Amino acid sequence: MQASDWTVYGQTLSSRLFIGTALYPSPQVMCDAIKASGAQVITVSLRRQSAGQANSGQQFWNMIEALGCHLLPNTAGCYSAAEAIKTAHMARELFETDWIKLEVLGDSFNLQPDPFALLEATKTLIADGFKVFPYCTDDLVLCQKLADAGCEVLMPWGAPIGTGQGLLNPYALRTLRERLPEITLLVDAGIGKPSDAVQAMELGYDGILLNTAVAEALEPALMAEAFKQSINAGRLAFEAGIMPKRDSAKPSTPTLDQPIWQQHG
Amino acid sequence: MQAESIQPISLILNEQPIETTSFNLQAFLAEHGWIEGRFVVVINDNIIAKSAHPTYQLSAGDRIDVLSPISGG
Repeated sequence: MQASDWTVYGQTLSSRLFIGTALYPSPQVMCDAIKASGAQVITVSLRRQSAGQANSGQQFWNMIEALGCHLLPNTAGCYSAAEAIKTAHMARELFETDWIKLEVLGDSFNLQPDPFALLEATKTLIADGFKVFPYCTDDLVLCQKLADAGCEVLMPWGAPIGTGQGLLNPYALRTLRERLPEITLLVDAGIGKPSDAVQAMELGYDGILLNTAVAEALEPALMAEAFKQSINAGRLAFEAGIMPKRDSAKPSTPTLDQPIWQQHG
Repeated sequence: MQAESIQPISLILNEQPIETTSFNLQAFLAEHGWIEGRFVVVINDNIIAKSAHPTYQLSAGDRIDVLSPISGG
């Protein structure tokens, strides 16, 4: 059974997994993994290439174009609002999409987003007509300000990029879900294994963006399939309604009409 | 009568100094392998639309960046 469709900036999607295109052992492994994931959105980037490498960008383009997915370009590696804004404009020209995964980093050790520069860049890019997907921390006030700026989608981290640590602060992520019910939320970064994705989806997150956990698996296509199933399962559980935790036991077998010697009062 | 020789101009291409006698952007790009396909050209921080490449004239000192798609997370 498939969880319900959802809408991202007006685009209806059935898969709730966004997947990256980096770090795979080979282009073919990447393509196989993306197909196995069922993802309809893939993240891409852009770089200067030397004149001798003019064809390599085209080869990569041909591969991702054949996948038929929506493209979500990123501004990876930007450490200032100005740099990210410039990169976003170049990405829009290159990939012909107004979607942008906005990364503005503030710390090179744990690749933590700079909340101040992120908000500044977000405001400018929304004014310039972009559909911004900000990669952000799980800070409630930052996320509220990004939403106020016009973001329909927010992508808080579960843990620093590439660490596979899972959801380091479930309380903060749950708070975001509760306080921003109208915002589409994806956990981006830090997901290490399918159960991490299930946890986020059971919290009511709309989707997951991941890359390393699949690309660095021993069998990327197999792991992609595992994430596909886990994300769907987590969403189905959320839609089904998860029972509340209780402090005391409650019998699951009916006690009515039990033999008298089994009734313990 | 001897033909006047074309003097090359100095440019920066993807942060590398380069000299060229191709003053037309499209010809310059073709000379370096960018003929068609997915790439974006930025000159002196301004994006140059593809439709403008055939008529854009390069000037000495221009900083040209050519960017192509790569994988990303």
